[in-house]
Amino acid sequence: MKRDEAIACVERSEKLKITFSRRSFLKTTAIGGGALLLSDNLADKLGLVENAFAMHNWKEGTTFEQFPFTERLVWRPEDGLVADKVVRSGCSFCPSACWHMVHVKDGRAINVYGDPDNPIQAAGGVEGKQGGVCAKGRIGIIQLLYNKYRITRPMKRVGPKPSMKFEPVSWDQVFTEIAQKLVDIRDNSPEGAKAVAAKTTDRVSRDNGAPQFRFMHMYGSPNTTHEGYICNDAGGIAQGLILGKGSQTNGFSYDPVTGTYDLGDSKYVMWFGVNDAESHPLTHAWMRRRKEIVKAKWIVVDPRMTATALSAEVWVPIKPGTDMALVYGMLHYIMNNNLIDSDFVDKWVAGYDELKKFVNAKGYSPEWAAGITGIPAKSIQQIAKDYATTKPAAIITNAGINHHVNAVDCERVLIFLTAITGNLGVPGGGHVAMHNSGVGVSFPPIKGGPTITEAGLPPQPDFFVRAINEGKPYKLRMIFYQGNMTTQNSNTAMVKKALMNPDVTYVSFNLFPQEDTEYADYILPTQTFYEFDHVHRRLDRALMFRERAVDPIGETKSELQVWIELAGYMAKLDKKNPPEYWTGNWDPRWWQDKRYFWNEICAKNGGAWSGGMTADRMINLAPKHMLKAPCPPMDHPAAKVLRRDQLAEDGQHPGLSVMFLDDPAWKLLWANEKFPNGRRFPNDIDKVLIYTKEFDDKMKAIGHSALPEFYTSPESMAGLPTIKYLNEFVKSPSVSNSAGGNLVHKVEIGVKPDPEIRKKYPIQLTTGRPGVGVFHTISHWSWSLSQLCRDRYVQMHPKMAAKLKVKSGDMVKVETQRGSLTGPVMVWDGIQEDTVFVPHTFGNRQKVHEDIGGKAWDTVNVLTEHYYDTLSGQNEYKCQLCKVSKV
Amino acid sequence: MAQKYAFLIDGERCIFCRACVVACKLENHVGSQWQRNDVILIGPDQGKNPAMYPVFMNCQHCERPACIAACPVENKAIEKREDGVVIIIPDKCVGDEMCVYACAYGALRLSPHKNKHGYHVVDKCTYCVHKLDRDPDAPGGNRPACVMTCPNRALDFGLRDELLARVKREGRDILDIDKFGMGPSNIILKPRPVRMANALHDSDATYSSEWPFDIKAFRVGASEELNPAG
Amino acid sequence: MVNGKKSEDVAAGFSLHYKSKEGAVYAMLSECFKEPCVEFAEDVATGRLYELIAEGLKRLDIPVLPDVIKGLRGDNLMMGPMEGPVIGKDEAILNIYHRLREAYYSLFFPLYVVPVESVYKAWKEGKDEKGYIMGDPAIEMKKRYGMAGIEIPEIYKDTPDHIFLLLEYASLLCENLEEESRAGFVSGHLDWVEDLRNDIYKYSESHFYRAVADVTVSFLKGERTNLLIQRR
Repeated sequence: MKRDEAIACVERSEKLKITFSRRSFLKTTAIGGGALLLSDNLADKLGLVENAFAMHNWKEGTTFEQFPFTERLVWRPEDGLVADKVVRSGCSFCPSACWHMVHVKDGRAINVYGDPDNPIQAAGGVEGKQGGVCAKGRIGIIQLLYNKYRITRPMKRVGPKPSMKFEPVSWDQVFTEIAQKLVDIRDNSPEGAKAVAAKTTDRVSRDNGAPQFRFMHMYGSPNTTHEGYICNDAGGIAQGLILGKGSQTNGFSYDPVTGTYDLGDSKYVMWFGVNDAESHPLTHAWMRRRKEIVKAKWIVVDPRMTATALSAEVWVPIKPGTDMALVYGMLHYIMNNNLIDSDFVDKWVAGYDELKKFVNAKGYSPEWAAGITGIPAKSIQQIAKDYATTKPAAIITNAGINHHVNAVDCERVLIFLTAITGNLGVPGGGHVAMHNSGVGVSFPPIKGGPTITEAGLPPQPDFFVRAINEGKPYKLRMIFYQGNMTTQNSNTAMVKKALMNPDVTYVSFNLFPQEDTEYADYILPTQTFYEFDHVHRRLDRALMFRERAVDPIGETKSELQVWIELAGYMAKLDKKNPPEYWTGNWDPRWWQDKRYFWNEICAKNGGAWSGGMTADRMINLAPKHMLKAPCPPMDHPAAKVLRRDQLAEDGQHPGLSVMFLDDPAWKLLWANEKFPNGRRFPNDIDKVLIYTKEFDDKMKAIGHSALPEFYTSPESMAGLPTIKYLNEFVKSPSVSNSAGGNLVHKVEIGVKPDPEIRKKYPIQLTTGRPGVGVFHTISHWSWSLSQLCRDRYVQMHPKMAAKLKVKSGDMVKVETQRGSLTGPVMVWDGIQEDTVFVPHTFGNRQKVHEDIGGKAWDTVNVLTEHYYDTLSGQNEYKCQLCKVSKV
Repeated sequence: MAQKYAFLIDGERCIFCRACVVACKLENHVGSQWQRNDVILIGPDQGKNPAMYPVFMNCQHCERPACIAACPVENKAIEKREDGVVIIIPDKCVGDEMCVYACAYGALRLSPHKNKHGYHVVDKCTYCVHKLDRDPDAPGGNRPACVMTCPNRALDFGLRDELLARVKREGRDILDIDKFGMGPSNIILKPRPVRMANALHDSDATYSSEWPFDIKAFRVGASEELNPAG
Repeated sequence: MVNGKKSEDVAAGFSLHYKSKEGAVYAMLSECFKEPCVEFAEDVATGRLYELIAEGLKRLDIPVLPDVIKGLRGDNLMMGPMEGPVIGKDEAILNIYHRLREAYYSLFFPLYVVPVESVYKAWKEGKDEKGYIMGDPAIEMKKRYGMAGIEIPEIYKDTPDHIFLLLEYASLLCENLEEESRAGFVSGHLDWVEDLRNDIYKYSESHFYRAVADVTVSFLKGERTNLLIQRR
């Protein structure tokens, strides 16, 4: 039948059927029915309503400009909008973890101020009347909370990839389909449960990561991972390997246990690869204030001069990727000039002699380091001397060290430095590995279920891509991803290829239709920080309990809620386990009542590390005092040794600011059979493990060594020794996300890199944070924050600009073996002459950038390649080769 | 005319977090494509001075405002109040932008807002005069939004005489940015000599800072020109 | 005559359900902005939607170009060759149902067009359209519903000023109040639809939804004239 005939046929068959389908969404409680029936009662009410509002707002002839609500996102008292409640919520953008006093009226957040009683925020405003917040906190969250682009319902794909063709579906449908798929993959695919991988994000509450791990372990997959491998976990992993426990070792604000301001009392601070001012503005401001008071000296080691160097005494413009050489040069000088802390070394270090022999035999002198780093030997010697002789001295590290293939090895060498100078385990000292303060959430043990025996992939999300594309060590079939694979993983082209694989189902937890939405099969809408009770952690292991400020938008759910509810569907569809397996190991009350969750579950299972951190304590003590892990319950031997003046205001444990203290308060936390009186270093030898034969053998099995040789990225300009990935997978000695452990490539270290790349691509490319207004891709969806950093610039030295004949604002093309992008030049004197810096987190679906008159930029990761540190999974984001040309 | 109010700006305390920029936008409903204030970074210049200096810039509420002098509207669309605050009168503005060009500090911009006659009006910092009468203990206080928000107290606002007296007591020097004789009201403190070294050079050769003064740098919006990404 | 049905029949259909013509048109336009269901697809397929709206507008003396209003007919949606030798009524309707759904969701996801009043009322400066939900219009609508004892589905609790809710509310006003009484609501809460129409044109090529937008705009213009509201 032809089309026209078909229509006519349809029409003809309906003669006088005038009834018109109409679903009424407005239900009047007065009538209780669904129809808009006439009713005097309703008419009266409506009449009253319209009269009331007409008098208030509109007269005949009213025009648009007279409308009371234009540009009203944040309210002024004279507008007549005063909060009817103020909620203590907080920011989770960065781990300064500021408190936000959220002003709420009629259930709507209308304004945000900082909390003046938090010591970190106390210098805000004038006379401490208003706590400080940075640009992100002030407006970023509200602009995300009520953002029109917010995905508020679960979405299912209806068109081919890549595209944005989705339809909203019910949670019931999404959960059912996902659970069915999970069962299917586990029971019917060649790989089984391990073909499902999942990754969490740091953007949300502390109770976001652990539930995923629990679910995946219950399901039987070892491929549960977290954002730490994209972030800065190498520092904590290095500490774990040689100190027995990894985290940021020292803290901010007053510490009653040591009676000091900890890092605030440091006299010498070396910032190794940390743009602290733009990454953690408020804790940085606190450090700045303390610096003034104690007259500390700051050394900033960074290929670029950033805002962190605003008050630094020395800027060390090191060549990207060469930090390990600098540290070895310092070590060489210190060890050969009697600047070590002999007491500490004798008592607490295993392998000092071997280290000294090694460094001397290799010739890792300041002169050698000068040739590699570009920093004169005399400067290196001076810095080494100052670091060793000024007490206390702190080393602070972040992405500048960790976003390299030698991340853990470089961090270990930094720990060597900290240890042999006696700066470990003292207030104001330490190896302060930032972003490693994941306190984690402690659940009760899983009852029943599989024991995972198979090993997971290398623990970083880039490996999801490689596993799919290469099929080695095995293929993946389903990914749960929190974050944005197509902007944050290296080599975007490879990511897209993996996500186009027809066997792969991609489940995206997201707030906005981002770049990876084009490849998603399902979108699970999540919540912003104001929409649920949550616990966030500060850099220094301080935990804070934040209350929900507003109702969740639409049908969004927090991640904890999603895993718990998904477990409910597994109970229905998983035929291999009894339903009680799934329902008995979870409790919806955990997400419904976070106070209960933290009081009764997390604290009760927290043991020595976090047993004393109940929700009640966190709420009652904050903001003046924030509990830091380790914080044992008061009946723990390590708590009983504290004096009255060392306890928190509520008479219980205050949490320890300084890790590895030579004090029973720390040592007793680690008492075990072998060490009944406790351990300062919670490993087998109770010492800093620089070298033992045993440890060396363990490391050599995967191609590393206890005493790391110097090496760097395969794409360094100078063609320095690098790493080669052999065709063999081995079990990682340093990372294990499940009982099965994780695989990594066996490597060979010290090989020469391919010289051809350098010939074609002669400029060093490094990447990093665009500016203070940016944290993850999510902040790019705020209008005001996008304005603060509108363009994905290409930062270069005036000399390079002159050579290219460009000035600030001109467009250049940056190209690598993987791809190319364009961007406006930013001429900057504070950068190496042969290096360009291109910031990350931009993406070509960032509509807000278009809305403000800019454009949505391709991510820098179209340029980067996937080289990873096999000890931590971290990516070589910061040292690749490119060429730059004028457009 | 008695210059009653002024800003006190201490760049030494600035951490470059731009909360001030955002706070102003919220308080004054400033759109997304321009701003009334700015934090500009001066330096570094490894050849001359390796240090960087952040400088907060807003309208200087000058003694002898160039914007008022330049305004061609009869009876002027900008006025200087009794208390010295310079304020735009939107209904008189015709959007010719003479004031925008005249201001050496780049304080004015043409805004997308229209007055009742349909002209786009210019917009600039108002010292948040609408807040002056508020309760100092209420949220947001009674001082300019940027001042109240700064997390490290790099900004202060108050009676000019009092601020000057405080500066003198603390022994700080004031930067002279009055190259055109307008009499800017704001008190920008000279950062104290910083021994900032670039480790590339001989470690003994540290530089002490002298303020790298280039008047062109002191403009709202300079950050866009110096660093196009902001 | 309208497509074989006498206009009296259509009128009869109206008065069966609606006291006022405006109320009927508001209700039908509201329906157009809701997620299409099979019944709605049937109304489109059979041409009922088109007829009723056309008739309603005619009786209200609101001029709409015939080309514009024709976009509400189902034939726009039945694109491409039909499958199989014989197509039954049900298949035709389902075909249109799927096309409607596709057009609807492509238009409103990835959320570049959000037909919520708050989004269009915040911060409008030429190209620079920043949009937030839960603006004052939303709060006001919540208050209105509360005072009148009206409940809206939970799923729309953050968008009580979604266009289909506003249009349905307007229909409620037409059915229950005198003409003048709704002037305030119409002028205050339905003055942003031109901008929505522009966005619908910008982000979708669907004839149907463009027609819906155009008809809504024309109808509201007519309403304003009839209620003597000046705009801008």
